[in-house]
Amino acid sequence: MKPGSAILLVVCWLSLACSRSSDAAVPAPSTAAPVAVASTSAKSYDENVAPTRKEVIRALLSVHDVSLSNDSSCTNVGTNPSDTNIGDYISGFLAEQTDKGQNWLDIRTKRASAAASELAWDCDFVIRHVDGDDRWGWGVSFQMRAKDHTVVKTSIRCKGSG
Amino acid sequence: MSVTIHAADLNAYIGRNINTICGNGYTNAADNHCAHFISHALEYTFGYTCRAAANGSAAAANLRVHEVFALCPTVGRWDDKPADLRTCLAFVTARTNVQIPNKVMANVPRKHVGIFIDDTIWHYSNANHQVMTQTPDEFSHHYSGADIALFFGQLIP
Repeated sequence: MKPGSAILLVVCWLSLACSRSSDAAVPAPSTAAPVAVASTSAKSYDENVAPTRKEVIRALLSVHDVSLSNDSSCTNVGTNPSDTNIGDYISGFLAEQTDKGQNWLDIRTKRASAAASELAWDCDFVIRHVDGDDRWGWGVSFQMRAKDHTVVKTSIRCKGSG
Repeated sequence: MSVTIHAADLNAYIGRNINTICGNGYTNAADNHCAHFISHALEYTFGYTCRAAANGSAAAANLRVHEVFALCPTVGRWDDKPADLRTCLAFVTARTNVQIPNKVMANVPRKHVGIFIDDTIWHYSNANHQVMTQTPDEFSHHYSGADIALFFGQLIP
């Protein structure tokens, strides 16, 4: 990924005002006058078709505000000790991609274990960079519900070594 | 508690790829295995491990440099290493990534760790995909940049 692309992705991330995660808290009551709600119905997906790379990224963007304290694998993984959530973490490593060496997004999906209560996809999203000994891959794994591609928030794990 | 490891133990790793060291299958060549190697050699099983990451069942080894650094009993700049500390961990990263008083190393990508014994450092070269040895001076040039520096850490009991 070129630096410009990474910056665009971060900008898109920061501009997100909506979340598709169904694990979100109950919406705050609105005191405003009723307004027409357009295009808010959940999308449905063929449960037998794996999510695309774009759909995995879109799902990840929707959980940017999940705290890094939710799972021990995410403890102190941010590139800055003050990082607090998945958005901080992913943004930090996207920003570390440089114009030297190779940069890519390693995105993989596979059917989740049949033991799950509903059909889901196991997803891996890893930001990678290789330039000689400057070699790393950091990201997340999570489950997406097959029916609507929402993220199972409790399934989020932070991946990476080095 | 004293922690011992000898040069002969580490020499047995020289030239080996991580796939001959890790029994859990955490061996992707695109991943960084520096902390992974030293944790297998020193049996560091705390924190985020290869066994957890790869759903394995073999011996666990920590995968993250900043988690190792944080648990060292004492850390400091390499120039401040006590002369009688002849076996320890050697870290290389930018000075700005390290807070010595509270033993914090930020999880930036450019950080590396090896095991120092008597002027030799054993480490996993991710570019060469094998365990190698270097002098501290060579190790200090693992990354380019004026801010890159060496740090020491006492072995974790």
